[in-house]
Amino acid sequence: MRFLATLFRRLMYAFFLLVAVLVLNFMLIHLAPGDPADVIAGEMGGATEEMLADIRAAYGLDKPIAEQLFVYLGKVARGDLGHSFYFNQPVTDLILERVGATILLVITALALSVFAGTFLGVLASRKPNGFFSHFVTVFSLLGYAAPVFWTGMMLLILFASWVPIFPVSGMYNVALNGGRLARAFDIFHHLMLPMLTLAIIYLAQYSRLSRASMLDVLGSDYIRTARAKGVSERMIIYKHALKNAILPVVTMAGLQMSYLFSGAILVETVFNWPGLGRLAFESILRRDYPTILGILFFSTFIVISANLLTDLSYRLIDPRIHAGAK
Amino acid sequence: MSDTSALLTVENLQIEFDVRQGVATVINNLSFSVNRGETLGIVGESGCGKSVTALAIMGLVPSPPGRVAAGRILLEGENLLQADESRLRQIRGNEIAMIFQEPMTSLNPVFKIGHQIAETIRIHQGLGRSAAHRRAVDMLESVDIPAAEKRAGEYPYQLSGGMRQRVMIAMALACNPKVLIADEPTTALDVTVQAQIFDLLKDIQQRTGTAIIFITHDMGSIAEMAHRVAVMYAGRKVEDGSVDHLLVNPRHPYTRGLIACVPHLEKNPSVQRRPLTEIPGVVPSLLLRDKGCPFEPRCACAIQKCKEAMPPEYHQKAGHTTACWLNAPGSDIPDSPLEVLKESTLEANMQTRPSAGGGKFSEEILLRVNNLKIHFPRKRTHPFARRSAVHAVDGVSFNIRRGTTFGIVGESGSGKTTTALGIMRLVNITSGRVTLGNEDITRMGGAQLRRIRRRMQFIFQDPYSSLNPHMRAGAIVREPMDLLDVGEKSGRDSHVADLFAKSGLRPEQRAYFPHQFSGGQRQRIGVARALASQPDLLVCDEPVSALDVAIQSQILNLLSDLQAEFNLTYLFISHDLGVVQYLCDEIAVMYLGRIVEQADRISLFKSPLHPYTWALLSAVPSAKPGQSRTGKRIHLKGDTPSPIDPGPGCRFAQRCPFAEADAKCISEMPALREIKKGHRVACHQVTDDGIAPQDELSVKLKA
Amino acid sequence: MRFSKEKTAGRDLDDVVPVDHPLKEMWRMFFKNRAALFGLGLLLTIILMALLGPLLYHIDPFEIVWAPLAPPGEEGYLLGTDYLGRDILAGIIYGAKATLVVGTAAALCTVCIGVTVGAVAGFYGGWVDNALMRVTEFFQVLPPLLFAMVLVTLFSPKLMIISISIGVVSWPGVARLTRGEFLKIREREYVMAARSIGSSNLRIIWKVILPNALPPLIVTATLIIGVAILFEAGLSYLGLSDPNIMSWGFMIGSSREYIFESWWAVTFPGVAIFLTVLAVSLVGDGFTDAFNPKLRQL
Ligand SMILES: Nc1ncnc2c1ncn2[C@@H]1O[C@H](COP(=O)(O)OP(=O)(O)O)[C@@H](O)[C@H]1O
Ligand code: SF4
Ligand code: SF4
Ligand SMILES: [Mg+2]
Repeated sequence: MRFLATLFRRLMYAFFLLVAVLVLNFMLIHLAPGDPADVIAGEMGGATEEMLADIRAAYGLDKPIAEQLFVYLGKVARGDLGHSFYFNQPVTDLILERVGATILLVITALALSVFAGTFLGVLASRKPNGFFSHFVTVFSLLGYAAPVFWTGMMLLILFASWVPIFPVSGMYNVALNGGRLARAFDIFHHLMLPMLTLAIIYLAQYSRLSRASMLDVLGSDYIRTARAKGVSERMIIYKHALKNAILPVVTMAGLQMSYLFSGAILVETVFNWPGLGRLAFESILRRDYPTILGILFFSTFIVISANLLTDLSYRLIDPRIHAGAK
Repeated sequence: MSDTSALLTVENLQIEFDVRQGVATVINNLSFSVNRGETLGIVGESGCGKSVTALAIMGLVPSPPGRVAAGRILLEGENLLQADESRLRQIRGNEIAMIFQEPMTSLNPVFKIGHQIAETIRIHQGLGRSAAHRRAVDMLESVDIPAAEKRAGEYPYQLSGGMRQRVMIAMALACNPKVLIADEPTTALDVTVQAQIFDLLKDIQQRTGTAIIFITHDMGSIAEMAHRVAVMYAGRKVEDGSVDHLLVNPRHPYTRGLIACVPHLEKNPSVQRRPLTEIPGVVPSLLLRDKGCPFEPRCACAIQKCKEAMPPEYHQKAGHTTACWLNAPGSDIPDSPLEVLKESTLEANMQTRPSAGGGKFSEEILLRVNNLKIHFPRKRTHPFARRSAVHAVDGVSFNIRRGTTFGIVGESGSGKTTTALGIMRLVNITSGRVTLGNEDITRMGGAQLRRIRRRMQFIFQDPYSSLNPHMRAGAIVREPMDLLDVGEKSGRDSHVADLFAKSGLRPEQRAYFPHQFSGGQRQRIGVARALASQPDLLVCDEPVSALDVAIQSQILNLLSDLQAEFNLTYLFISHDLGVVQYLCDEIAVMYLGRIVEQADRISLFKSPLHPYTWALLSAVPSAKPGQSRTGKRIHLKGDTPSPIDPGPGCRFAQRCPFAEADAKCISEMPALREIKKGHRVACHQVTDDGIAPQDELSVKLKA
Repeated sequence: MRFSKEKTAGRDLDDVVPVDHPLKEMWRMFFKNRAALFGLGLLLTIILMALLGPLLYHIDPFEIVWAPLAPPGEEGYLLGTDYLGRDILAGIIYGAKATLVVGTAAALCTVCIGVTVGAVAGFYGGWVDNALMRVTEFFQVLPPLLFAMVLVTLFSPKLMIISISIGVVSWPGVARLTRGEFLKIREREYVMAARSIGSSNLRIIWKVILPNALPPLIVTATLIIGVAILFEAGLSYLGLSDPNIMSWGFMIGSSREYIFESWWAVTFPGVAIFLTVLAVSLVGDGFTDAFNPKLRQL
């Protein structure tokens, strides 16, 4: 019952966040220098009078501002994020075509960095002054300092040009004829480099975080209790400590969803990965605002959903949150 | 002194720690032993090595930075220091078990308590999941946890501190260990809960014959719990012997100091108060390994020899040993160092220090508190939840006369601190009135409030967090003068120096930062800061609770001196009945946001009327061995309930042993009535001529 | 194991001399840390390069000076030329300015917004905290780079706009941290003590809480500079940089199509970014170590 109430509250809250993003989008169009119709047309003042008149009618731009907002929200509620004049396609269609590729990239990178990062961190925490621990520290420092698009390019030069074991760009080989499995493998083959690129920075951060968190937990009173009970060192690390030490990692993963998405934009442009990030880049180049704002809305939607999920999984691990206690 | 019959023997133990400045020898040549069915108490100030000793027996000295440098630890003849890790794991939790000081943090927050107990059983007895669980539930029952089956499925955060400590005990005893080590098991708990835990431990020992090593800083707990006691100072054992003998005839100056510096609770407090014995200074840094007696810098009886050589261990009668030159047989120094102690500190102090608040009280009322209520609204868990509030203080009234000390005593959560903060206008007052002198300060603000703040100041509980670490000590003491505009600007610096001297600090120490001071010294800075604005009223919230017993007496003496010198009025808050009895002229007992009884110190302790006061007093262990073990103790059920939206009846009804006798107890809140002059009590069953329910009970029992 | 209490108890005051302010002591710790000093040296070198480089090296980074795609060393162009024949070394020297200016300005902007919001939320609590944290969460779910891209495109890519945009999208982390610190310190008794001697709210925020919250804030502020530099690089890589000012990210972005023909055109600017961020992080880590009292105990 408590849980359902919490879930309901979180859902309501997520809904309000989404509306807020839409209001922000709306405000951005109106705050930008120049005529909103021009902004929507995305032609830098070069749109025809006829086109502008269409846009004004569609968005109710001659009506009072509050009503305009209402019209805009109504359109979005019906699934209409506007029309891209550059791609000459409804924005919703454009986005839906590409969102799958981005989600595939982001989820695999996130999974890799969280699991491998935690594992590295745990290993490093076992000997806080050992070689491996220093390795994790240095690796996380390096992984953090390298710009993600540059790392991607370096990997490309290395593994697509000098040692050509991975494809240069794209998500699949168009010429490939084969069964489901072959195609799945093809996608995976294309996915490797972009995913690694995106995962490296976060891998670095999670290994550092989980190392610190493990060290913290290992010094706590309840670990001392476990030792006093005669629990083996293995069980202390992997059962008693890890379940507590993972909590900040989960929090961090939730908070970083939006950053992961940002990274995806850069990675997708490097590898020509046909996802939302690449679409965003193209539409920025063309000043195609309806598309950009549509992507902003849509990616926020994904981030909010992911946050909801991390929140719920946190509740599964930490009983204290579950009951609303602190 | 190898004792072959002993269950556990520690011989010549030496433990070292690597610290920044070098190697600290935290345990030095320590030997003791404990037999089956016996409780050995280890007592000493913090930093004397009690916990490290316990961890060493468990094989859990953190390493690095620590290491056992020498010695043997024998469990039934097996040297644990030579056992390998897997053998040690078999022993831990199975043959030697341990419970810790902090029940709040000692259980793993993400596992159910039943699971945590069952884990021990599964590791050592190889039982299956469900069998281990059943045994865990049995264990919970055996430590008197009601509804054990249901509790086993709960997480630690759902349990109170007392409950958690019971769970720890259940876990420790799950495999019938031969030795149980209890490291300050009740320090974090309230006195009524402490009494429950003590009874439980004694009961278990009787049933199972487990040997207990009981570590504490409190002589009263030793007298109640232990058969034999070892006194530790600076990593060494300075005295040991049977409790009955040692506590009555302490021979080492440190032991005597420890006993004498604590204000012990007495049934018939004398009218005249004597200053407490002080042990000056602090436990020394263990880095400096001087050749002499480690206690020498603080010892009132030290002689030349003490500086030069370490005293050996002298055997007295009845297995009593001490390590002090004054105890050497045939030495021409008086056999009893107490005489020396008395002459050098007690008598000297008594001459210079007038007794605190003694003699006639002024009739002028400085502070009036009228029906004070402080409620904290709670966050609602979901939008449809009922609004609720924590009734932290719920209708408290009292007056404090100028120049006297008014004490508030009660367990944690009773609303003492909140009352004090409300009076100081540091939390919002929900309703009621607070009057200082003849000014109503309840709703004062701005400049008016600042003017009033000059007249009342606060001394905080935690000397480690009450001083801003970024300010020098001198600036901390000067700040109130600047902010509250006290005195001439030019005279302030010398006033600060003056206050330092008065508070027992050296004026040169004004340039130091808080982290350079010891706990007691920080509390002195807190006192100096409070005095800076020349207040009439000092509100002291547990000013000595965070300090070691030896330091407590220093601060208590300082407070009495200052009161006499400046005619100060104190509102003194404490959970420690001994301290309150020692210092206060009038005392109010609080329970769940209300005063349940109020009287002058003589009548309160001589004839407590309220069942809660009575239970509280009986729960305090007495430092005189044998006394409390034969005396009758009143058991209170459970813990203090929550102050969230309390019901209509008596706040104490849930735990009161007499609540069933009167239906009014659960339907109607008893008002605070004056029974005798100055003695007020809030209980339906106390008659107008001062017969309390517990009196009738004793009458009936006798009949 | 907690030995802190034992240690303080064992402190013998009579041989202690007055020390400097705790922050000064932390500086001293910092200067004992070799990695941090290396980072500081590296950072100073880069700053020097940005200041003095253009005075010593006179080639315009936008000018076509030699054949395109010339490998490093050819005709004295130490790091080669890009696909248009522009000098890479000149780009790196002149590009340092944009990186450092935007990095610092954006970090300043981030810290100002973040600390203000966090301090107000943490200090006042209640509904103020609630409202501000909702706003913070709102900014936290917007993908920062995308949001910054939108802002920069809408309001033209000038250094100033870029810095502010980065600040606007990256303050939530700082706000949460500041709020956490304030909430923690607000409960310390010395804050209550300050109140009991009549300190005003403003004085408590400035003189009592802020100095005590400073160590983690300094660490974050340093690390934020690194984040901002990476951000600026990302934006200019996507073509959203000031067209009149050379920047490292822009160099990489413009050679995007030619990475296999001229690895040097993307590698060297990337190394420059990498070293700068590394230097800043090393300094930040140095602060962390110096401020961490747990480590100082040993
Ligand atoms: N700011 C607050 N918000 C909610 N509850 C509080 C607050 N301060 C104190 N309380 C509650 O008020 C009760 C009394 O607390 P306190 O006065 O600190 O008791 P004591 O000093 O006797 O330990 C406790 O239940 C405590 O949790
Ligand atoms: S040996 Fe000397 S200094 Fe030590 S306790 Fe005995 S009298 Fe005091
Ligand atoms: S009123 Fe009743 S419940 Fe309350 S203390 Fe008296 S006898 Fe106990
Ligand atoms: Mg309190």
